[in-house]
Amino acid sequence: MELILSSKQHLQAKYGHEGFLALHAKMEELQAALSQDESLCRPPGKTTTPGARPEKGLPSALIYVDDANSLAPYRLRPVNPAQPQAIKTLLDRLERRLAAKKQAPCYFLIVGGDDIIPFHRLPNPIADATWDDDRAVYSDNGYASRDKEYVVPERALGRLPDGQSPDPTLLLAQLDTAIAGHKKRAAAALRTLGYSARIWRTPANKVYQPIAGGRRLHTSPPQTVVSFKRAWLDGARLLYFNLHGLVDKEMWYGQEGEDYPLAFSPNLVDGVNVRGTVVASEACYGAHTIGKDPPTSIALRFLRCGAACFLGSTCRSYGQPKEPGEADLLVLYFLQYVLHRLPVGDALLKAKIDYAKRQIRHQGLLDEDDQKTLLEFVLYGDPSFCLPDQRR
Amino acid sequence: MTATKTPRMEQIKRQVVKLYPDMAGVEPTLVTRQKPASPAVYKKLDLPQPHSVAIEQSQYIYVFKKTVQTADGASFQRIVRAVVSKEGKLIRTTTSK
Repeated sequence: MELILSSKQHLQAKYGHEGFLALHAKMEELQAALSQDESLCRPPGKTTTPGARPEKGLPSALIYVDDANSLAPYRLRPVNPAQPQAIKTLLDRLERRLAAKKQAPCYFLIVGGDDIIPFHRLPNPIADATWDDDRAVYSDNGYASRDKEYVVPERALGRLPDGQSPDPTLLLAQLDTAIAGHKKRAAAALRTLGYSARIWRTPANKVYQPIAGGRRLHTSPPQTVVSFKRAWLDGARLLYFNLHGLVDKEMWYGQEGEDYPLAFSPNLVDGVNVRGTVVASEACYGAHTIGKDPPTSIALRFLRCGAACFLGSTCRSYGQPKEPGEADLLVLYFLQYVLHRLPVGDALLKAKIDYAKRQIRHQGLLDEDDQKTLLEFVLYGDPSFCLPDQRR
Repeated sequence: MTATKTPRMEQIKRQVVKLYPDMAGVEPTLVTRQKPASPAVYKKLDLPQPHSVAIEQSQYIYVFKKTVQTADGASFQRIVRAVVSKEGKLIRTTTSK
C-alpha cells in the first residue's frame, strides 16, 4: 500500500477551496493510477519495509492528518498539522492499524512542502557552530523512522514539495508526474548526465561511471552556465550533479582553485524534456525549498518541468577530495539502486542503510557529518516511481 | 579554540593544503566533538556497537574555514574538516559542497 499524506487545513488555507478540490481530485487520480500499475518492480533481496508490494497494482490510502472524516476508518483522531512530532506519532499509529489489517504501507508520500506538512527540525549533529552553522537539519527522517532514533530510517518515503506561491500549479504538476509514472511506459534508451565542480572530478567520476553508460563527466570550469548545452539534459533519464550550492541563491557553482564560476541555473531546465527523469544532487542546500519557487530553486524547477524525483540536501553537505565520501557515497548508492529499477523510495532507504553500515565498517563509528548526511538528504517525488525498462 | 603552532600542526596543515590548495594560509580551529551515534542506531543496523567513545577520544578535529566569493559576487563559507589522530596523523578530510 502507498499512504498519501497531507493537511486539509493547510492546503485549504494556502490554495483556497477551489485549489484544494483540484488537488484532492488529482490525489484520487493518483490513487487510481497506483491501483492500475502493472509494472513489476520487486526490490531484489530483503527489504526493511513491512509490506510487500503486490505484483499488480498498488492499493493506497489518502489521509489528511487534520481531518476527522479521513481518520475515522482507522479510529484515529486528527492532529495539529503544524507539529511534525504529532504527525509522526499519528503515522506510527496508522501504520500499526493498517498492518493489523494486513495492509501495511510500503510507500509513504507527503503531499506539500514545509508549510503543508512541516519538515522535522532536528538538532544538527555538528552542533559546533564554528564549524557548521546550520542551526537545525530540515529532515523527513522523522516521518521515515518508526522510533525516535531518526538517523537511520525504516520507511520508503517521498514528498511533493510546493513553493511559497498560493498557485497550486506546481503541486498539480508533480501529481501529474506521479500519475504518469504509474502508467504503462515504453522501454526507453537510458541517457545520463554527470556534471561536477572540476575540483571534485575524481570522486565525481567514481560516482558517475557506474551509471554513465560510457558518457563522460562534464565539469565546471571549463563549463559555465553560458556554455552548458541544454541538449545534454534533453531526454536524459538520470542526472547527477556535484556542484556548490548556497542557501540563498538559485544557482549552483563550479570550482577550480579560487575560481567559482556559475555552473547551473533554474533557467537551463526550461524547454528541455526532463519528464520522468531522476535527478540527484550533492550540492549544499540543493533541496532547500522553504520560501522558494521554481524560479529560485533548481529542485523545484526540475519538478515543475516533469522530473520524476529529486534527491538533494536541505542543508550544508559534505564530501571528500579524492575518494567518494559522505554525500558522494549516498548518491552513488542511490543511483545504483535506481539504475537497477528499484523504486526511488526504496533506493534512498537502502542507500542510507548501506551508507551508515559502510561508514561504521570503515571508520569504526558514525561521526557527526555522517549523521548529518543521513538526516539532510530528502527525496522529492513519488517513492514508488521506478525507471522504465531501459535500452542502453 | 585556535590550534597551537606545533611542528605536528604545521605538518597537518601542509597535508591539508596539498589536498586543498585554496586553504593555504588558513589557520585551523580545533573543534569540539559531539556525541557519537546512539546505541539504538547500531541496533537498527544489526551491527554491534563499536567502541565509538574510544575512537572519538583518540581523534581530534581541525576545521579550516574560509570565506570565498563566487563569479556573481555571492560569498560563502568553504569548510574543510580534518580528522587527526592523537599521534598527529591525518586520518581523513571532508569538505563542504
